[in-house]
Formats: sequence, structure tokens, C-alpha cells
Amino acid sequence: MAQAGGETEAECFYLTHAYVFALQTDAPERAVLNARLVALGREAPLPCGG
Amino acid sequence: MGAHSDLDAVTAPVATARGLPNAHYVSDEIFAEERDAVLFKSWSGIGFAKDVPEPGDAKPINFLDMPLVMIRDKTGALGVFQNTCRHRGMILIEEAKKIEGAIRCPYHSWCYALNGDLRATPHVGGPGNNIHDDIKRDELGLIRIRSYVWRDVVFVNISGDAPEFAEVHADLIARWAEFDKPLYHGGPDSSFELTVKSNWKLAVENYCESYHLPWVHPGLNVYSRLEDHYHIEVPGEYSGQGSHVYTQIKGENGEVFPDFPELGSKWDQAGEWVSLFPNVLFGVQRDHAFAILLEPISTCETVEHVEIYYAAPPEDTPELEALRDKNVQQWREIFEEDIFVVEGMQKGRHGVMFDGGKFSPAMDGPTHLFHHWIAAKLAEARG
Repeated sequence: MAQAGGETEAECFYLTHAYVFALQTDAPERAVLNARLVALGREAPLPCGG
Repeated sequence: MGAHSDLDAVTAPVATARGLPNAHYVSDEIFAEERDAVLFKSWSGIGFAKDVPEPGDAKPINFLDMPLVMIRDKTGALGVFQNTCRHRGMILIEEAKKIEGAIRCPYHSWCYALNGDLRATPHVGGPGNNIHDDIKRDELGLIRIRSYVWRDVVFVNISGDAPEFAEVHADLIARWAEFDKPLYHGGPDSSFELTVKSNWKLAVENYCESYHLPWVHPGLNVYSRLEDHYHIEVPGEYSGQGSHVYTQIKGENGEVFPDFPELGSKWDQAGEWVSLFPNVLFGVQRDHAFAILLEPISTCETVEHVEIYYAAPPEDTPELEALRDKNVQQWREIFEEDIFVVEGMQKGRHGVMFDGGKFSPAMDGPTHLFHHWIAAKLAEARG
């Protein structure tokens, strides 16, 4: 859904929400979501084991 | 008579001392002063480690209106933090829960790791931008409160400047070194709470003494007589009582609880019960132990949280379930018997002509020690 949003701002907005809930639930997707946001300059890298 | 001279009367030797003035039991102003000068400045009990047994477990605690949270992190270490988001001060955790990954603030979803590190600040730099030069995550982690777990009780030092727990309480730690063994909680039925309409200090003072045994605990006095008790007095740390004649509780078929391992012969027939200043009451016997955490709710209300522990896990000793029930009922009865005297002293403190009271040098030494400690703490804070 984030990718279908189109514009970077919208993409990052939805990626952020997905990332937050992945963090909260310890979902394995958190690393990938973090990496995508970092690549777009919108997030700090997760620490090792984070 | 000024407040200063009132405290001088308390710190006099027991033979001539008077007890803490009435205001220390009925004044909201002094309750607040004691919160800061005594409870926040010392190592105070706030909870039990067994309530956060697994990594991810979190339990909020309201300690004298200070919002705290106990968290078991991924390494299994127990930490206590202020339960307040560093962003806008929102309460993070409202009820005990298992944190799967990170603690998410319900307001703006700032996320914290179980060790308190700030992990995410969504949209802090604008929608879709989770970083900002002025938001330094390593400076905005949860505020960690100094904590120490002893005999499953979680102690905290809110002020942050008390000497280390092991240094402050070296004497009792050494005295009960033989009891430094795994403690197994007796299960859900080995926990109970009693609410007393009294200032928290009265519950401490009553626990310090054996003097009231014959009159208030006639059943206990049958097998643990006043004359079998001895005083325990360590100025500045703890006081209480011991007995030379501890009688094990027995089941219908004569069964007893297993002893804590490798105890010296003293404990075959001894039990000790001390008030660890300021607010935790402990009891040790050869075959079980307990802790009573006194939670001050207000000037005139206290909740007593009682937890009972054994030398073996209840799941390994199912045959002793009935005996555990009997034991908790026995202790519950004893502590309930104390309620009317603790609440009665609270009522009596409203008698404006009461001068704080007179101590028996022979019988009230441990109680006076606690009064002395409180007075000294206040005097220190008042400067």
C-alpha cells in the first residue's frame, strides 16, 4: 500500500506506521522497513540486535 | 513547641524520648515532606520481581504519585523507569502487560526498547520524516530509576543519591546470609493485600514489637510466647523481633514444608521478623519466608502487600497445597488481628493533647529506633 501511494512523502508516512507496529510487535519485517526508511533519509538505522 | 524541639525529643534515648508528634500521622504537609525526605531519599520497596517474571513483562507502579514501571528486559534484568514518555510526558503503560518488541507511547508512538533506549520518533521531523537534528535519541531514553532486588522485593532510590543498597543494608544481608537461597513464591493464593486506614509508619511500628503479642495475637502467643521473643535493633537500618521457639506448621498427616537448604542449627527453632526501614517488613523461618510491602496511599491509608515464599516450587510440591493454604490463612489471620490497633493508633493521633507517646525502655526499643530514624531523616532534610 505504501508503494502504491506514489509520492515519497506518502510512501514514508505509511512505511513509518508499518515500521512502528513492526517494532512494537517485534515483527521480523522491522529490519526491512527500517532499511527502506533509512535509504530514503527518513530514519536512523536500528542498532545491532534492535 | 517548635518542630525542631519535637524531633529532638524523638531522638533522645529511649528512656526519655517521646514518639513522633501527631502531625507525622495526620498532616498532609508532613506526609509530603516525609515522602521526599524519607521514602524518596532511601531505598523504598515498590513491588515484587515475581510480578515481572519473563523478558518483556512490564508492570506500572504508582509510588506516592510517582509513575514508575518495572520492566524485565531481553537479558532478563529488571529495570525500573519513570513511566513517562520523554516527548510530552504521557504515561506509557497503564496496566501490566507483555511487551513483544518495543514500548509504544499511545500519544505519538515514540517507541522505547525494553532497556529504555529511544528507538523511534515517528514523524518528529514532519510527516513521514522520523528524524530531526534537534531530537537526539541517545539523550531521550526513559529515565532509569536506581533499583535493587533483594528477597524478591524491588527497591528504588528515587533521589538517586543514597549509598548502594548492599552498603546501606550490609548488616541484615549478613545476618540473613544463610537465607540467601532461591525463593519460590507459593502461587496466586500466597499473595494477599490488606488495606489499613492508617499512616504507613504505624504498620511499621506495630511490626517492630512483640510487646502486643499476648493481647492482640492470643493464638500466636500459645506457641510463640512473649517471653520467647528477643529484640533486634540495628540503628539506621532495621529493627524487629526474633523468637527462640519457632514451631513449624504441620499438615493433617504431620507433613511440613521443606527447609531452606544448609541452614545453621539456630534456625531449627528460631524465626526473625524485621522492619527494613522505611517500608518493607520481612519474616524468615526455616521453611518459609514472607515480605510485606507497605504502600502509602495517603496520610491515613496504607495497603499492605503480603507475599509468601518457600524453599521448593509449588509445582514440585503439589502434596503441600493444603498446607500452603493453611499457612497463608494463619498469617492472614495474624495480620488482620493487627488492623484494629494500627487503625486505633491512627484515630488516637487526632487527640491534640497526645504528646507523641512514651516508650518502654524494656519493650519499645525497636519501635523507638524507627521513630529515631524517621526523625533523623527529617532533621537532615530540614538542615
